[in-house]
Amino acid sequence: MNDIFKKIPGLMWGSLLMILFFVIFAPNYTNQRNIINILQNSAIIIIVSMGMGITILSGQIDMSIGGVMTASAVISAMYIAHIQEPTVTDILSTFLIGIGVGGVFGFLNGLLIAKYKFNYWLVTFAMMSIAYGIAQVVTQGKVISGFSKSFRNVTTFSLGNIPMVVYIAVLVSLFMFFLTYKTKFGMHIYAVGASEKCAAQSGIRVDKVRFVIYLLSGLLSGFGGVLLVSKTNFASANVASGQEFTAMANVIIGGISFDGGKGGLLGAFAGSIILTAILNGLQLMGLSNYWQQVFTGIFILMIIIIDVVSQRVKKTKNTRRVYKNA
Amino acid sequence: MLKTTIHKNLNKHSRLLLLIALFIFFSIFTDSFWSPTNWSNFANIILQQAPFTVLLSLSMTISIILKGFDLSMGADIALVSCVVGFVLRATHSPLLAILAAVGMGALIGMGNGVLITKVGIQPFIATYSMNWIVRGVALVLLGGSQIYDFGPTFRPLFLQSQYTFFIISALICVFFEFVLSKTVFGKYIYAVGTNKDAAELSGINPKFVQFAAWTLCGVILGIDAVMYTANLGVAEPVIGDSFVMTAIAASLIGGTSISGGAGGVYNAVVGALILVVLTNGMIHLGVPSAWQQVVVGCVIILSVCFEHLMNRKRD
Amino acid sequence: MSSEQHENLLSIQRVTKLYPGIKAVNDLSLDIRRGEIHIIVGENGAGKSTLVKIIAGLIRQNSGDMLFEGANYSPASVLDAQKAGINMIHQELNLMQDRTVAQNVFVSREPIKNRLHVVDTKKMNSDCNKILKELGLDFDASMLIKDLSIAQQQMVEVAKAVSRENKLLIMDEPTSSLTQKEIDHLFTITRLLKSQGTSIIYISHRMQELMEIGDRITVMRDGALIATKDIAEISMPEIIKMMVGRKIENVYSRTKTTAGREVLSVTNLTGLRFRNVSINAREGEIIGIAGLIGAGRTEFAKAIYGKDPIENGEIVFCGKKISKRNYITKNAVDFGISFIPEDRKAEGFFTGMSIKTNMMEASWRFLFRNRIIKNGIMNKMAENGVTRLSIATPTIDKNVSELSGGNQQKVIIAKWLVHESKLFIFDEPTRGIDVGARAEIYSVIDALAMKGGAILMISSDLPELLGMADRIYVMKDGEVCGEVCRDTPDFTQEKVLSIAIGETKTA
Repeated sequence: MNDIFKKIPGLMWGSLLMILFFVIFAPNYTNQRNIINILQNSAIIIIVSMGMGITILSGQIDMSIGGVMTASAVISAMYIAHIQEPTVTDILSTFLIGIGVGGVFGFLNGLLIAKYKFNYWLVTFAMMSIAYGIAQVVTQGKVISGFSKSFRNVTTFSLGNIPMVVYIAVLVSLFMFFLTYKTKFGMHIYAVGASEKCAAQSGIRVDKVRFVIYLLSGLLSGFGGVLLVSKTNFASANVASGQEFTAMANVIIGGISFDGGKGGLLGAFAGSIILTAILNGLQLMGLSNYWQQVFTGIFILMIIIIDVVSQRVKKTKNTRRVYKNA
Repeated sequence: MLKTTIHKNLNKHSRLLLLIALFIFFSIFTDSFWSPTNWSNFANIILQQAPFTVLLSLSMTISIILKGFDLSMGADIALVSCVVGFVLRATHSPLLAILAAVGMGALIGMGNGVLITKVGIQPFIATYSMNWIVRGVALVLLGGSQIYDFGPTFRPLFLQSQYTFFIISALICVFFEFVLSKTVFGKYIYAVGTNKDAAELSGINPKFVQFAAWTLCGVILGIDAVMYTANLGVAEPVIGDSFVMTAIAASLIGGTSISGGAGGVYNAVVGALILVVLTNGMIHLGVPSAWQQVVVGCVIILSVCFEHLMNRKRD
Repeated sequence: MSSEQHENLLSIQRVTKLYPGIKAVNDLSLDIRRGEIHIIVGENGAGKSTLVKIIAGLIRQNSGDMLFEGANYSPASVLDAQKAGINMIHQELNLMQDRTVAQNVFVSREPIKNRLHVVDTKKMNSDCNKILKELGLDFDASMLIKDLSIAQQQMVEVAKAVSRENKLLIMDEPTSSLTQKEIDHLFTITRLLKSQGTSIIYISHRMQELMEIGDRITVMRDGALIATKDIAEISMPEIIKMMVGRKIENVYSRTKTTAGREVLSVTNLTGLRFRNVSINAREGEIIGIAGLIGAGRTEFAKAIYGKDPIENGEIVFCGKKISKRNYITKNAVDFGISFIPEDRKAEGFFTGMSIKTNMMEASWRFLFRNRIIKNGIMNKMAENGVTRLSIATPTIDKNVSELSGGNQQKVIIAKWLVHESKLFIFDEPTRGIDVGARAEIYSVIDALAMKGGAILMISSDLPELLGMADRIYVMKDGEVCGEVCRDTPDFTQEKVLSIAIGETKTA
């Protein structure tokens, strides 16, 4: 029992308390339809949070996630919008296109940051802008909607009362868990994040690791973008605006720290569901959309502050303890 | 000897040359750029459009000197604009509105400053979080609506002369040029931006310097918001999405070093002018506005590459 | 055994490593034999670490060759060295705090289970536990590094190196944080490795241990090899003598003065890395602080300076008690304390800025009361500084990064001359600076003392301390272990070194 106590990061406790609040006070919070709603709403953000998760684990951050999702969404939307009766091949191609768009951005990020050592903040931020710009160009400011049922079914088809998109999210998550918890590459992600210097000196090809991380993050964002179109039946030039911020928050709630090398994707998974559940609760309580945004912003900032401060306190405590015992 | 002199001067004045080159380029390749109507358009660029970008660029330049980026710019301007709108609708007094704007801007700046110095969050993350909160607050204040009722004196105060915006931003630039190059505080900013540890060991208090600088950036944005609102004629919470990218692009292309500790008003102004001419030229070339965002993003990446190359050569 | 049977594993031939203004390794030739434990001793700055870093592939020599197993050996990186079978245990811990012991020991070499590259955690942990057991350690491979003590962490570093295929293992001060129990185990392992044919280069200051375990010993001084002898043929006093052996040259300028009022009085100061330190300094005095790396001297100095936290104790400066709360460096500077740091580039000067600007950085608010810069005054002050310290530069606008180490140090010192300081703290004032510039810096320091300033000089250069200081405190493991005064029989290099090592204690 004590072990579980230790494993769940402090922030999660706070968030769980909030959820408890909603369980008590929000109407219909715990009935089956709402729970399915929460799971369904968190599915896509879970997928892209995996990408954000590995980037932060490696000690950096990918700001382009929202932009890449948007670009992928609109480009794949444009492809399939005109096809009235898409075949399986058409739908598959749509997904490949979306993932491909993500891959291109991921590749560029990886190239500039891992190989040419440019500042990762700036590169991913600029990529985000370029991606949003491309989305603007493609849509001409218009909204694309009204996709075929078969395309939409990819995410919304209900299997045993649960929409497909949830299963997809679980599958992707299981793959990412496997990658990061079990494989050698996963170990190297942690090593690079824990101490890039140590990793390099021990023989890890840091640039290769980082390149793959950005590529993977891009692919996941691309995938998320297409799923978003399928799920919401809708694509526009700011459809995924701000998702990187949400992904950041999910990851931190889940115990992954900005320092790098700490935490795990399980946390990203849990954090995504928790944050979605909180937002859901707010909505059920009747909070207006705008207040939700303020609240989300403040909540996320609180999380970041608590994380930063507690990391610092832990470090000092640790140094003191270690040197006292010397 | 001659070669190094040329090389040195080229580096120093390269931005100005770029500005002139762009100008010439657009003149040749568009019909409308050089027409008599565009001559007044040119004045329009300098007098009407550039001032906003110049102030954005100036605020961002100060942040970059201190090794940070201000990602909350767009939201800050939006919120101050809403506040201005509220004050004007209630009191019709331009003076109160301006005071409120400066106050609100300073408040936001202090918010950023506290997060960065007291809590110790990296500027990127701190301002990024503030961005969402500030935007949210603006949306809560005004929702989807706008305020048009500024009272009889506000807009005319700014619009009666076409030189007003230019003069205001010029004054601010002159003031900050003075602060940055002629005051002790300015020296502190450069010291902290170059080497925070050495600055601290030299008896400078980096936390205070950063806090004060970020507050000042907020004030600049507050004034910019007043001008923007006066020009636009409406206060609404959704403006400013592209401001951050524009500001970063302007600052970097103007020559501010991305590694901090260097740069100044000159870089901010020249960079802003380049960006405004570029945008204006693109419009005249018929480039759709959507592409412009892509171009701005590329400009940032190219500026970083350019600086990388220049530094590589020096080593 | 006849000498023909000894095979040289590593042959270092006339290797030289230069840094700006200093010869870190000077035309050094040395052979390491197979299966021997070879000790290298020397003071701080003798070049030992530089030499082994060259062997381990961390840095490249400027000239000279190395032969490993008879073939040319010039590693381009640590990986090359590791491939050749050369590994190093570093002095500074290089571990990932939030990962387990096994993950650290096997980083980049994790054993995999199948084609999917799944890590075999079970095998990794059991292999690691085996190594830990051999080292006599009682913690488990699945523990997190941050939950271990410093001594245990150091042993993990040892385990990391020992777990590889080693033909040559370099240990750089592996025992500095260990308790006797762990040292014993380490020696057992070292002897075991030797019996398996591994050669070991062992750098340490723990003299007693070295005599126990070494086969041969090499003494280095000022980057050069002084002697290589069999352990059996040499005694400890002889070794120490060779370590410090040079004459005190007349580089030092020390004018006899009578000390004035007390400037600094520190009582029982305790911080993160030092305990119960009490020292005092008066006007006109130069107080030396000696000790090995890791003794806590710099941390102590930074605490006086407001940079590092103080937990307990009292500081009285010019009669005024300094409050521990909210004590930051800016306050120290206002009081009149100056600090010239060890790492000039990272903490001393501002790269990319002019000499003129650098000199002003500590004095802006003192010089320009109304906060407005007057170029004329700035230029005059800078010119003054350049002349007073004989800084070699055509103009005051030159970029500081382009100066030599010695001149850079002068610029940093000049920074503190622009306004009045009562206490100057120097941390390794002449590290990496050539003899000529050193002499000038010594005369500057002397002049500061003459004018009534008090000087604290942290240094690992014993002749420097003996040449300049009136009194020397010796620190070891965070505490003051001894104090020697000028014009007493204890005021010798041998005595100071032996206190610093822990050989003897004075009351």
